[in-house]
Amino acid sequence: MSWQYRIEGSDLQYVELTLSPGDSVIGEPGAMMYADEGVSIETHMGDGDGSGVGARLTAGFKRTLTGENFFVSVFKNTLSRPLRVCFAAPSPGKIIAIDLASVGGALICQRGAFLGGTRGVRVGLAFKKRLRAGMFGGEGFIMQRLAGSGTVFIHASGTLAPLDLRAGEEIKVDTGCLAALQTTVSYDVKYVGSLKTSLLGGEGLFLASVKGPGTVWLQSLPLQRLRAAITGMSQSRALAPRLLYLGLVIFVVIATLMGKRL
Amino acid sequence: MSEVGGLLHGPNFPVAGVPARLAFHGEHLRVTLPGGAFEDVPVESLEVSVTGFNEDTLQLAWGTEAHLHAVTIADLEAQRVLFEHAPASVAKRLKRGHSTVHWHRRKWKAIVGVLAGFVLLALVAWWQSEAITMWIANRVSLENEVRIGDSALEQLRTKHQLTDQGVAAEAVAKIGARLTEGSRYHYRWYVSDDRQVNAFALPGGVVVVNAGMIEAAASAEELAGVLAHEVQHVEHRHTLQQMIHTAGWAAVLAVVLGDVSAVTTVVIHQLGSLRNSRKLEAQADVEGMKALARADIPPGGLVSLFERLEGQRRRPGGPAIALLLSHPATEERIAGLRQLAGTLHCECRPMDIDWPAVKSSLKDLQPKVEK
Repeated sequence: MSWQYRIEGSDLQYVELTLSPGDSVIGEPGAMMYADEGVSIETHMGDGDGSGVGARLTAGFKRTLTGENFFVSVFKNTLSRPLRVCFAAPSPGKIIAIDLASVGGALICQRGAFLGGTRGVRVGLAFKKRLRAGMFGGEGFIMQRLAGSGTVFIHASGTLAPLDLRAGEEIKVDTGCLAALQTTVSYDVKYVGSLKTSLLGGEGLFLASVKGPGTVWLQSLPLQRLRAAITGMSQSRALAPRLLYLGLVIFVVIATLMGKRL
Repeated sequence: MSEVGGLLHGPNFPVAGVPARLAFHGEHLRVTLPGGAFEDVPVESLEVSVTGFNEDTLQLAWGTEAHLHAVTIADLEAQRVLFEHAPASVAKRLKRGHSTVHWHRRKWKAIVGVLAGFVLLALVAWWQSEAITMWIANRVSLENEVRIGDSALEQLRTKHQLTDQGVAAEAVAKIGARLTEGSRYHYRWYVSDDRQVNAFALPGGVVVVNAGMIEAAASAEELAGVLAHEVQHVEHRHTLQQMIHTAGWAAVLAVVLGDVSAVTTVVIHQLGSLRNSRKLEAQADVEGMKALARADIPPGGLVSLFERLEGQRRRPGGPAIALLLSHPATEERIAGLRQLAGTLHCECRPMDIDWPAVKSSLKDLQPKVEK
């Protein structure tokens, strides 16, 4: 792997890569901001790693489930001198580069986080097996699993904070703020603790809980919250869905109290 | 001694952990680093838990708070090897952790299995809905069927005057008796004061013919055609089937359990609006014609009746005819009926009914006065 990159901008970022001759990089369709003449752009189904048609179809389908495009764009330097290609972040936030080898070969990200990376990196499904975490963790049942060797660029809204957790070290995280985590990290939800706090504390009924060992990346402003702040919540505060939600929450609280292993 | 691979985590190691070899030596767990350095951890200080995003990593931790060390084993096979060679004092705890790993997998298999089962069941129910409703209709006892029919009849009596006496009713009963010879149902025939052109069958063998129907029929053969058709609805339990189909599974339970009052409410509600499906109507047509031929009655009556009524309806300003609303007389239906009538073998005998007298007797039947 022989490309360099630099990430530019503070809150509205882009990443500029310099490709060596013959080298290539993959990016989400629509993410490219500019590329030098001489960089060829090809669209592939799936992860663009040259596997069979069936595998590519499956890969493409998995990608759509994780909030990505069915297709991927492959940018290749066709000239004999280094050329630039640049990907822009789709929303205010941060781009970070992560070397997959440094996190054990795989990384779990929230849906839609993948921006681009080394050709051969696969975007797969990370299915959350704990029911309560899937329902109330703020990330849903399906997250992204980026696997392979090389570097990936992930993007999340707000500011991204990497936190290293020792074995057994546990932190509470507001639901929806989990941007990425290492596969060794446990992720669950916990009831806030008291009815008063859950109703008046503004944190909701549940908090996500992550436990080391491993690194987690937290985002300061999840996209839903940004959208809510912009559009104003007043119009969309219908009573029925909230009552339904409350009923569901009560059910799960009871279920959690009855059997710890739900 | 079987060694397995894992990752060692601790305050002095990188967050992602360092690869380590693990093996039990007596009452100690030996953790060997790639460099060859090793540490023996007494098994009684090991804390076993399940970690990782997928809830599939076995973690053995020792030490306290800031000095906590842990080894994680993600590979299922390695986990199995490890607890097979563990000393008895820790094997139980390891096995519990191992089974927790499997528990999550089994849980999702069960959830997916149950969901798939429901979907399959719904598909089969949808695919075989006719067979199912027929099966259920056949579970209803004759007794309950009669009770449902009686209750519906009582409700009908509150709106219309029904009679089984007089020339008209006797003529209907006479034709009906020829058509229902050998039936397991005990039929009762009524003439209603209703002037709408219609006739209908209730479950359990009650057939009601409107006065309007008799007036519209040009001959006893035509009425016989209508009666033969309605009788088939009773014989093949079409009303019950249709009721079950529209009222759904709640009514099903009531019928099977014999809660007649609830069912009757449904039947009465549906009496006015009940449409037998096209398939059931076609069956009643065909079987009705065969019954006419068996009873030596000319089977063409229904055809001529439908043709005349349809002609009246088509005329500009023609009346809405109730019978045609529930029995659309499409061209293909009439053509089909005529073709069938031609193929049936019939040693037809005259009906021996004074039809003009039957018609004139209807004048005595006065509409029920609302109290």
